[in-house]
Amino acid sequence: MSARRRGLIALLLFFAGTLVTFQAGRTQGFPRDEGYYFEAGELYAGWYEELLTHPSKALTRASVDRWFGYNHEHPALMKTLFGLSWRLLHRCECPRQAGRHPVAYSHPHRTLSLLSEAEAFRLPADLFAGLLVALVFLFGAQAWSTGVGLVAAVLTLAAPRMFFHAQLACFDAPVVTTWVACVWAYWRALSDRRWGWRAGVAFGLALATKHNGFFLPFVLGAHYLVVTARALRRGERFRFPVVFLWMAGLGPLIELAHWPWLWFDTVARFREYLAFHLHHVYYNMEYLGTNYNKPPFPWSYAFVMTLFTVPVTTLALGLGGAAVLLDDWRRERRGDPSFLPASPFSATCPGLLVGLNALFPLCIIAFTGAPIFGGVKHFLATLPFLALLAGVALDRLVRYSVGVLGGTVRGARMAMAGAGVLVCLPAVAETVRSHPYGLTHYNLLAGGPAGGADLGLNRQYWGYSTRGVLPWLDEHAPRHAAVYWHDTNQPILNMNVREGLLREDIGNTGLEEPGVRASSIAMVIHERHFNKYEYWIWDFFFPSGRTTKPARVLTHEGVPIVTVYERPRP
Amino acid sequence: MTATGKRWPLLLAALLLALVVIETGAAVRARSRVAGEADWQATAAAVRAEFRPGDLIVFAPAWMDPVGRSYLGDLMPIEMVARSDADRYGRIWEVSIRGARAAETAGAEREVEQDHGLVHVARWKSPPPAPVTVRYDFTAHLAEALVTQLPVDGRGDERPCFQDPRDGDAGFGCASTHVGRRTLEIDYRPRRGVLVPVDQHLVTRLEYRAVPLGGTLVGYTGLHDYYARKNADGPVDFVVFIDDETVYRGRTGNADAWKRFAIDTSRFAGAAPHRVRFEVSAPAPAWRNFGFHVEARP
Repeated sequence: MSARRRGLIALLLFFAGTLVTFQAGRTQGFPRDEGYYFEAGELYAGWYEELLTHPSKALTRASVDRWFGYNHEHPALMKTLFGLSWRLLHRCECPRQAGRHPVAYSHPHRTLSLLSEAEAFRLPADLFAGLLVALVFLFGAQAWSTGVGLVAAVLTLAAPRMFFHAQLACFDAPVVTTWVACVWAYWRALSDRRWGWRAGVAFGLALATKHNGFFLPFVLGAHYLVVTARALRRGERFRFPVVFLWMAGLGPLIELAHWPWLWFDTVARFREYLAFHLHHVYYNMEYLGTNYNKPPFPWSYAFVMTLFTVPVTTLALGLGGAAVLLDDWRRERRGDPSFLPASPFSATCPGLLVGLNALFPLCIIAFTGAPIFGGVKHFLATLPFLALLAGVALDRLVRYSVGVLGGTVRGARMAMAGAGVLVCLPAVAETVRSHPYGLTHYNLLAGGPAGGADLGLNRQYWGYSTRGVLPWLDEHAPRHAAVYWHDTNQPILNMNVREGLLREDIGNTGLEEPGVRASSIAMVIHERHFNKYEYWIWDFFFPSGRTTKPARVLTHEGVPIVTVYERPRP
Repeated sequence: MTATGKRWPLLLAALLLALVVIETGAAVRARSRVAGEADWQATAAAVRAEFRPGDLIVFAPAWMDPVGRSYLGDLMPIEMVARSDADRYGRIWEVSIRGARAAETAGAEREVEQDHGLVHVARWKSPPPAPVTVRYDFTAHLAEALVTQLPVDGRGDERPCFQDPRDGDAGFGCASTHVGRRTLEIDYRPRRGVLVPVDQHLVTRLEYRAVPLGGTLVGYTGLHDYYARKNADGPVDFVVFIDDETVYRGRTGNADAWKRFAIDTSRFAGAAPHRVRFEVSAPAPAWRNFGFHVEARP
């Protein structure tokens, strides 16, 4: 296939991926961290506005600290994009929403008024999701075949956890995009030096997206060693790894340039940033019936969670793809005369690169003692590479099957198209099924969401699912109701009000025991360690102890995710 | 190569196709396999029709408890939901889905069972010794206790804690903590009991002056609140006295969950009431949210 046609398909995939995540995001709850990033985005956009209007003031330390001091534990790239998108596109009623924005506005913003506020904030994440799909296609199509690329592109996004994160104005899916971009650009740079600087830019963007980017040189370095050793064995001369020079040069430069907070006290602030993640407080995560909130964490976590959350067909094909590539390697080493390289780029070992990247994110969690509280989102980068392996497996299976049946090349292409659609069906069906409670979803092996609950796997996190009880609250809550929102934080509530999803008069009684005591409606978001909040509600709402009847239970396929109580009215 | 050997790609393709059909089918049919409103309404009506005081309602699997309580919660007081054991209950209503069984019905005799759509209801006759008649529930009678504190080393005065009912329930304000009747979170499960957060280097005493004892005192101890268990792991000492005689001395740690003990009190049984005192202290008191529940049984 010509590069032009490949590019056209990539473009279509980009639009499709963007559109699907954008559309799904309209019914997706806002999680805790997204609430912080909404606020950060608005603040960071404020700095750029000041840069345009009062550049000399904007470049002072006081101004930078005012706008970028908030949420400086993460780099600014995505938050800046969220904020700029919001600034440009949202329909503004900001002056009327005093107290629900991090900044007070006396006049409405002049914008294009194309999207709601949340849609505008989330649009960059949607675009990154589209980009991810396009990049995976290009990688698969260039390294193996168009069919491999297409199947891998669909399977990457058609996975409940990835799809969930891809809709959010957060960093966990975008960093997968920048990770894949860097891996792909690095791989291209091995055979085309012009790609070196692009790999450097992609590495910089990965660093600027989330700290996961720091791990990229390790996995790429390991791959480069193997490629170089093979080249030397073949008698080729040693080629200096220029691509790493680009990465070493552009990576830190982009990290520094994009993040004004680092422009002052750079070393101390960079240390602070690293220290935040190296000494992160341990949150809770239920795994196989045990709540983990301090080390040691189970090494099996990342593998078992992958086993139970990725659609089984994708998983089976991914393992098949790994077996295919191992078999290729074995036959090549033996000098098997029937072995033909599957890729014109086989000297650059794309299979090894994909295999390493499928395993590496899992191994970081499994073998470094890293906390597991982030759940699957901390090793989401495995998924596109698993999807590529799945594409390879399908491609090979179709070729062999058509060969056995004596089919033609055209027949093989048609068979691949049909098989591609078929193997994507379960992944798409699982993803549709999981929406909008993707974090509660478990796959066929686990027995679905109910099976996940049986197994004692984490029900959810981040307090986003309370969106499902907003219609009930709007209908039932008395005026100025004092509500205990549990893990749903104030920035989320602000956005719910700004989006017209929650009545403005409904209050928030705050955190912990005083919050429950002060409330007339209280909810518990079901996670194992959160049970005590439900017991507090019983004690404070029903002191006679005669009942434990909730007013509303929100479920996903029968599994409780939020339970709401009403204090009996006198 | 044999014919089968040549055809392995077709075999794999067939397996893959089967997996595709099974996984897609499971995803498409998932929501139809969930018990619906009508199933639950019918279940609730069936249980209500024959429920009588002294019955226990349990849900299996345990995670569907909130859903079940949204239909039957008015029959389920906190004391039932946060019970220490099922010994008080003569009959057990087990409401289950997906073929699950509740631990409480192990060894019980099934009397009735019926299906309401996807919800299964069974009534069980509790295994002996249930139903146990409790002679005195120390949690329920907390308001009758005299609560005091004194230094662990005994050097200093015994100071009273004052009646300080909160949220309409029994409680005492002590030096820097509050002793009260609460639904405790012990090992992530609800347990109705008395919360006695260990107060600095003090012994907290709870004395009940007129307890009608029977043949046994059955009790449970544990550490409340996952966050406290995360932040500390030292043991808590719990001592039981009857008429100033030590009858039980135990240590409770994070891993003990809701630890059961039983004391033979047959020599104290009879018409005359007795003084029963509980003492709580810990070598490392920080984050030690100790809870207990004790019953005098025949």
